[in-house]
Amino acid sequence: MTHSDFDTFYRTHQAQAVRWAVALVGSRAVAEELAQDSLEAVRPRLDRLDNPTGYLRRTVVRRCASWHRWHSRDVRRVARATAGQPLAYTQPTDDMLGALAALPYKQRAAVTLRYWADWTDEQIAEALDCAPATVRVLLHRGIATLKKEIEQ
Amino acid sequence: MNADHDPQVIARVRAALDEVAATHAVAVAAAPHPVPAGSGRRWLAVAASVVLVAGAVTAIAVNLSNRHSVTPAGSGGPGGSDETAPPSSSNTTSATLPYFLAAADLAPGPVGADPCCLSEGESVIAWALGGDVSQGLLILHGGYPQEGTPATSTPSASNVLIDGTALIIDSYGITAEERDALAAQIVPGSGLPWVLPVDGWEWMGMETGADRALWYHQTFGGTVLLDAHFGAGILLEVTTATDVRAVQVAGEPGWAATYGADGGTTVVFWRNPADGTWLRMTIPAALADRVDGLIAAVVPTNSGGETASTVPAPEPWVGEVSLEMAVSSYALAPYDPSTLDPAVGQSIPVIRLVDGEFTVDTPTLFVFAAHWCPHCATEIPVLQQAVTECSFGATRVVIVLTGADLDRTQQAEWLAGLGWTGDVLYDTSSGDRSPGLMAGYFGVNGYPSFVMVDADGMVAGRAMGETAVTDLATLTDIAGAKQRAAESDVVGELQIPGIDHDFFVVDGNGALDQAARLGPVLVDSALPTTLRSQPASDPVSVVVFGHRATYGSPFLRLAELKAGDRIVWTDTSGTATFEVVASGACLAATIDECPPASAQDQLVLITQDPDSTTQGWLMVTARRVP
Repeated sequence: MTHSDFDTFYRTHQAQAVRWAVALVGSRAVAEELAQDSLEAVRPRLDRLDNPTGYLRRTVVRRCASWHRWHSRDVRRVARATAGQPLAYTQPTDDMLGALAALPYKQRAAVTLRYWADWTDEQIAEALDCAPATVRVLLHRGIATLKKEIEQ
Repeated sequence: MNADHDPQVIARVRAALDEVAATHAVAVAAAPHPVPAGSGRRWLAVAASVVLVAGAVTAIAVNLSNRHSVTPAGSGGPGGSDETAPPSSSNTTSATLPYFLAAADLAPGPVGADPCCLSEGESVIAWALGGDVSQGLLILHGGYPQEGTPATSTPSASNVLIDGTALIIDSYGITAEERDALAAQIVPGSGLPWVLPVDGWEWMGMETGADRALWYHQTFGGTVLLDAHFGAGILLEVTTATDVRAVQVAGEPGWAATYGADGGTTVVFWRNPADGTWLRMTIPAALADRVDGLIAAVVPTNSGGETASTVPAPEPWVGEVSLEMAVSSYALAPYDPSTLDPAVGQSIPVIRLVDGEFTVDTPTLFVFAAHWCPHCATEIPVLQQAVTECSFGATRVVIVLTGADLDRTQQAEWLAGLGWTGDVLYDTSSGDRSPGLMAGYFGVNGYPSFVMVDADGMVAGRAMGETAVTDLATLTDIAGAKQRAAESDVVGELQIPGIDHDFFVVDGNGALDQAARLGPVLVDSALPTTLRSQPASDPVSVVVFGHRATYGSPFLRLAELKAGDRIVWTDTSGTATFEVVASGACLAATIDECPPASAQDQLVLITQDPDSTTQGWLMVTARRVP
């Protein structure tokens, strides 16, 4: 791998990686960090990967899962810093982010990656370590829950 | 598209994520080259941006806390009993972790405990060969109901389908073939969801999405995180590492996982044999060169005689200032204790070493000393004791030997004779006792001199002469306080290119006086949502107060602003540019008596006028430009 290989990869994938992470964590700022970390993970193995984009997808999905699992410290800090302050987004967006956050991670990933980030079922399946058929089940359940949520 | 996939719901998902994606993160530049983790500036930016994600993350927080109550997790029994939550690590109310980091320079923080667990539907189970995780570790995770066949195996893990459930198996210390052979023997259990009935492979803990777990955590030196989770869920972290190697931690086998490229974050995992707890130590990239030393410094909390002093301290760092220092762009003003220090808040000059540059990315106290100075000889043993007792928290102390007419070996002997075991920087020497280049550029006017620099490379304070540890601790805590403020209460970033101002603005939170000692503060109690697309009927303005001649002098040069100068304000909802329209004085005892900023899309900056008085106020008003 040369520097320019990675540079090219970085330039062509950075914006996409941020978009994917936004779908998975619902925050632009956090997404930029996680995307950056994921791109860093590709660097040492770029020359050995048959499908670096696929690897990047998988890494972003895993890192974001990890963030959801272990970000409670940040959440507390944010909750303290923002208590009683107005919403950072408009009300419908805030509601939707809450509803997405309440979904199990894989359902959330399936819904947002499929319908917002425009991944195929196969790409989602690969990143989530499951079959395309499972992705369709996750989509079905995720959308059904969101529908119920916004009708309330 | 499946008819079940409601187009209305999908449209709402899209609209919400479009809005999030359009929100710019504060101060996280899209660098063409990845910025190495651990750069202090970036760290602060990250802290700020994490804080600034307000609404979205708060929603998640609420959701998490609703779902899990604070109850200690069970770690289950290896025999596959039908108890799903036996509290084997029962005494979770005591505020200690089973391990402690005994590193002389990293002061322990308080122990925290929070509810935390896996997301619903997930499971993690670990097995180890002969109970020794370094001989072979098998981690099962996933566990979602699955239709059809599982996806193809990846290089780092096997996918298996057992009884209609898709599982991922990661392994360490064994080959992929061995892993596949073991994975094929995993079967559904009764008390435990999955069982590995293979001789020699011992059950090492589990966690399911239904478990309720307490997560214990403690930081050392404010940077190294030690945490314990009474379940195996913590092991999921290891499966995303880029590099994993076997290590011994306090006599127990474990794994050190590295994330990102060389010198990234290192996470060390091991298990407490006493209660089956999984432990984790997270070492930031800034301490990447000390990973082995920090692993060696982990001791069991109840180890009795073993104390910090028995653990080898890290090798001190030694550097040498280069004559290249002379090409530095500017110097700090000579220190004069009788007046307000104008250097406070300024960036330090570039410190050029014979082998590169000295980059300050953690709070650092530079102590300028000369071998012939009796006050220095008195001060250095005091400093050494303070460092050993962690009196300065996470602040790094570097002794700069200057004004020397001895060679380096003789100076090192002098310092060692005083008991100093920390970092040393040799200033340039012209062979006589005149100050070296670095001392000159730092405005050193006598020995010993102290220059406290914050993690952003800005002077936080200076002092001179024999100084008591308590006074030095106040000096070192200025940077700490600033950093804590940046972590917790940043609401935006204020950039005024015309006068080289660039600050994170903290929320006044109704306690303006206190908050303003840490940096410019937002006076409005509401978040400045100005920059969002607002209905025109909703006038909002941003009012920021900063000290002019004290507390870091953030608004020292505010009076230089003139009509037309640009001010850039960035907060959670985006970046907006303002143009100065007026600058004037307001004679009043308190800011509240000055005319309020009532116009829409207006930014008002306020500081004292005249300098460091409370007789009146200088108000700069700017209007938003498209």
